[in-house]
Amino acid sequence: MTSRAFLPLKLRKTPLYDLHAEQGGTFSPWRGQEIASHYESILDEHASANDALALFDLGYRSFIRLEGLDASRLLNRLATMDVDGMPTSALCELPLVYPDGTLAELVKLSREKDKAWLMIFENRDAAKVLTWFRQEAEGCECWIDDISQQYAWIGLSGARAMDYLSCSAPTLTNLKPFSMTEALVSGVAARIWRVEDNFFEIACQPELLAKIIRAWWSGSEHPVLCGWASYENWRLEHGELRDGFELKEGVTPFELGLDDKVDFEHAQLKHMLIHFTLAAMRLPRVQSPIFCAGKMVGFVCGGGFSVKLRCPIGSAWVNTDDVDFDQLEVEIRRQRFPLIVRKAPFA
Amino acid sequence: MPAPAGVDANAAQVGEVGLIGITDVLQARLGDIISAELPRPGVLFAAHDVIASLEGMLETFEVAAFANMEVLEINPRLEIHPDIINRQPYGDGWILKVRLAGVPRWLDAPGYAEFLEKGTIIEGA
Repeated sequence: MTSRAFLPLKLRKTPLYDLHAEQGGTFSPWRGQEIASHYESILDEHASANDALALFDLGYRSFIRLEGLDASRLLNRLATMDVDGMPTSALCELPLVYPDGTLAELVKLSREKDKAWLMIFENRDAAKVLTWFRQEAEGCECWIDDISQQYAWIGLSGARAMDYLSCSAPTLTNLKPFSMTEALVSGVAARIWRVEDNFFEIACQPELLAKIIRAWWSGSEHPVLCGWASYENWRLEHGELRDGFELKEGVTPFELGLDDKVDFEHAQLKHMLIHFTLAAMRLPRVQSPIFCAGKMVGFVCGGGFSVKLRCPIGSAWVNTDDVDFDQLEVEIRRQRFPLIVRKAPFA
Repeated sequence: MPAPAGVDANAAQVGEVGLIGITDVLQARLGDIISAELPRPGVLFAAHDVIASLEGMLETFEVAAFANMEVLEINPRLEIHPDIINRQPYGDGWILKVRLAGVPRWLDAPGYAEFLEKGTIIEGA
């Protein structure tokens, strides 16, 4: 008798777990959460996020608040940019680095008030960052709190997102890209970040989140509930840097292409992140090797399929020594395919 | 969750012609299938050989021969619309038509349901 044992994993449930189950989602673990990977079609969900209205469950995020006279001084010590010039309610992507210049975290930072900041992490486990920040904050007048449990998160994406959200939150009409506000959404007090022109992130009390969504669904037009697979594919197409894919320990913000977010100069890069497309209809998987003239020069860190370009896409770490970027190949299932290096986002 | 139509293992005979596809559970696990690599008609395969590869958004799946077999026909729809496997795994989303050249060993529908429930394969079932 052959037995295949499936080890039980300790997974958390996002506040939208019941909703995913009720809607018939296919579940698979993601970032330590029991969450739907997809519903009928990952690519249809992705297309909704581009052209119509899509709803993503972002319940695996962490949320840290810093407040105090020294909060911005602490941030300036750990980040690559001077945050003092950020206006209240502004939002930016911020690399946090260790003293050796390597990336610790890539966070979204918004200025809540003059002396108060909110940091959003992709990962639900904020313990490592909290410990680090508290060590660095010793002797500073800065209070650091993990407020992740107080909030549940969703993302609303699509060409119609602004108009749609304005209907349920009338005060939102003037919310500019890269800014945050507080508003009532379907009667529920929420924080809203406009992350891109057509992408909003919404956080509210966990027990009230389903109320917003059910209010949306009671209308004639409503967003398509999506799983994490379409969200990650959509983010790859947008060229976002994702925790566990493009982001890894030991890399610098320059190698990630974040030069515009770093206020100092850098030396020549030894390896760098690239984005690419493939003509062959094979999906590059994480860790697929990259070759140049028969020599292995890197590996894939994320792969997917572009709904806009209708071809496989990917990101990879590549050594820059003696590499001809026009001659790169990726090996997928024992065969090598030429790849075309492109600038992200893919469009 | 739909179950596969099932087969009667005792009824499968050498020389019999049948269609090969994947289950609804497997297509859901693979995600949208963006391409299918298929053999040419007339090729002979031994049991356990890889006879087709399905490129899913979440996983790649290599379909193995469950017996010695000859490929008679490939599903012509898959070249343009491989995602038909996702939409109709037990219907128009069939992959290959084959002629058995050996006696297969496979799970019938109740055996498959038990496998899904318990994660266990009993050899000889």
